[in-house]
Amino acid sequence: MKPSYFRPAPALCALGLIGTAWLSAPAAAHLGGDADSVAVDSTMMRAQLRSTPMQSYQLHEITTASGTQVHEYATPQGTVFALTWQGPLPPNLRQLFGSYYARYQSAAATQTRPGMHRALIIAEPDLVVQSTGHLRAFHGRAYIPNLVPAGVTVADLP
Amino acid sequence: MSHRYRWIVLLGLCALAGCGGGGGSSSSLGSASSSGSSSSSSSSSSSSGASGSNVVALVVGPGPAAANGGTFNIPYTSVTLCNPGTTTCAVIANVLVDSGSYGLRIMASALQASGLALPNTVDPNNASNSIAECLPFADGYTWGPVTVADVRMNGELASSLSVNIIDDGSYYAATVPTSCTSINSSTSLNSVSAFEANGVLGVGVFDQDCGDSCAECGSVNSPCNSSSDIYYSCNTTTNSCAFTPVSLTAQVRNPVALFASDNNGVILELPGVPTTGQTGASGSLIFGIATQSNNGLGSATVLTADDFGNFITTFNGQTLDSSFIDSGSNGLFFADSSIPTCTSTTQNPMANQFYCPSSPLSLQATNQGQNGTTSTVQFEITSLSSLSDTFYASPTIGGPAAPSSTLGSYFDFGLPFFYGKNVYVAIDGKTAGGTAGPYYAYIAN
Repeated sequence: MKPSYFRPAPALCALGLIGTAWLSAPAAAHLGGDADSVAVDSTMMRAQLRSTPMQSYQLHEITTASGTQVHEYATPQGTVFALTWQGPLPPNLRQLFGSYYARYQSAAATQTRPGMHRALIIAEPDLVVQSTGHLRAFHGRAYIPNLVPAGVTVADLP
Repeated sequence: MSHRYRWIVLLGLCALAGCGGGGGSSSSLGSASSSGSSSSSSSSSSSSGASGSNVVALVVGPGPAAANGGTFNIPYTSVTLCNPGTTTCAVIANVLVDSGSYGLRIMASALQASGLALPNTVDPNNASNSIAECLPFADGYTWGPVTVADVRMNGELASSLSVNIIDDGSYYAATVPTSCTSINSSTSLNSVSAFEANGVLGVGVFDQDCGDSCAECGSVNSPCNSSSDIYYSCNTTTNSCAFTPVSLTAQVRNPVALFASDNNGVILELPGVPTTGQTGASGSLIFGIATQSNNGLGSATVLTADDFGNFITTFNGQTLDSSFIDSGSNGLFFADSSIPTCTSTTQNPMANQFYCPSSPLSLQATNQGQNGTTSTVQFEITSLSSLSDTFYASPTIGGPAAPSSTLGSYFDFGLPFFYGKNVYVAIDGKTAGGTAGPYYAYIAN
C-alpha cells in the first residue's frame, strides 16, 4: 500500500464547494461516476476523505463526524464500481448511488415485508445491493458487476 | 407454498384500505391494565407465564386484523398511553416487541382509533415548530411526529416519554422530507401491514434511538444532516422541515430506561414450540434484570455487546462480527450458500428470502461476546413450504443474509431463537445482575 493523503472536508468548504457542488452536479454519477464525484460525496456528507491507490483499484475512504464510514472503490481509470458503508446511521444512498438510485428504488420497492426489516438484498445482473443492519448499526455494499476490474473479488474489498 | 396466500391478501388490503389499522380502546386510568391484547392463543398454543407487576403478556399470533395474518413469528404485547399527568389513556394492542430497536412507536391510525389525542412535541428552539422523526431501516424508513405520553405496562410507568407516531395516514401535516427518503431505500414503511403491528416497542440494548450524534450535531464541523441526525423541526403550516439536534433526554427512548425501578433491561420468555410449528405461543415480557425475585439472571450465558449492540458469531467457518438477537426478525437470517432458497414466483416474490431445504437441517453456531464468553447454539432449519398457513409460531424458519464481507457480516438471531428460552436484553449504561450493559443473555427455560 502506498502512502495516502488526507484531505479534511473544511478545506473543500473553504473553496466554496458546499452547496454549489451539490446543486450544480447532482447528476455526476457516484456509483458509476468518476473521481470528482467522490469528492462531491465527501463534501455533501461534511466528511473526511482519504484516498489510497491499491494494486487493482483506488480506495476512497469517507468518514463522517458521526462515525459512518463509506468506502468507494474506483477502477484505475477512476470509475466507481463498488461502495461499502458501516455506521450508526446509513449514508445518503441517493447521493452515493447517483444515476443508479432510481434503478435501486424500483427493485427495492417490492422487497419490504413485516419481520424482515434488517436486510434488503438485491441481485440484478447490472446492480447488486446488500443493505443490512438494525437501528444504530447499519452496513451495506453495492456494486456494478460489469465494472468490477479483473482480479478483484468484491467480497475481499477492505 | 403456504405463505403466498398471506402476502397476496396483505398487498390487496394495502391497496384497498390504505393499510390503516384498528388500534385499541380509550379508557380511564382505572382500567389501564393491558387487557386489550387481542392476539388470542388457541388450543395448540403453548404458554409459559411469569407473574408480578413487572410482567406483561408476550403473545405470538396473527396480529392486528388490518394486517390479516400476513406473516409469522411476530411477538406482541399491549401498551397503555396516557396524556402526561392525566388519567386520559388508551390501550394499544398488537404492538410488536422488538429487541432490535429502541423506543416506542405507534401507528397514527391505531392512536386515532383509540380516541386518544397526544400533543406533538414543540421544538424548544422554535415555538411554532414541532419535532418529527425519520427512522431508518435496512429496507426503508418511517416518518412521523414525536409526541409525549405517560406509558404504562402493568405496574411500570415511564413518565413523559417521547413517543414516535408513525404517520400511516396523513395525520401529520408535514410531509416526509426528501432527505428522509434518501437514506437507504426510499420505501415507506408507514403502515400497519409493513410491521404487521399497531406499533413497535423497542426494548433493545440502547436507551435512545439515536444517541450522541443527534444530540451534538449542529456545529460547523458536525452539522445536522442525514449522516448525523434523524430528527427534524417542522413547520406544519408551511410544510417545511429541517434537521435539528434533540437532547438525549428528549429523544425517543426505550421506555424501560425511564421506569422508576426494573429499568436496566428486559427478559423475553417464550415456551418451546415443536419444529413443525403451531398456531401461536404465549409467554412473558419481564421488566428489569436481577431487580426482583422473578427476573434473576441465574446461570444464563452473558454476551456483552459492542458499541453497535452486536457480538461475534462463528458459523461455517465464517466470523460474523455484527451479529444480534432480534425479536423483530421473523426468521434466523444467515448466509449459507449450500442451503437452497425457496423459489420465488409472481405470486410470492419474497419466497427466495427464506430457506427451503429438501429435508430438515441440524446446524450450529458459536456466539462470542466482547467479554470473551462463548456459547454454542444448536438450531434446525426446515422448509418454509412445510409451514401451515394457520401456524404463526415456528422455531425452524431461516433465510439468507447478505454474503460475508469485510464490513458488517452478521447472523440475525430472529424470533425462532427465542422459543424455549429466556432471553435477557440489558441496556447500555446500566448494570444488570453484576454485568454492565449492553449485553444479551439467554438460557433454556
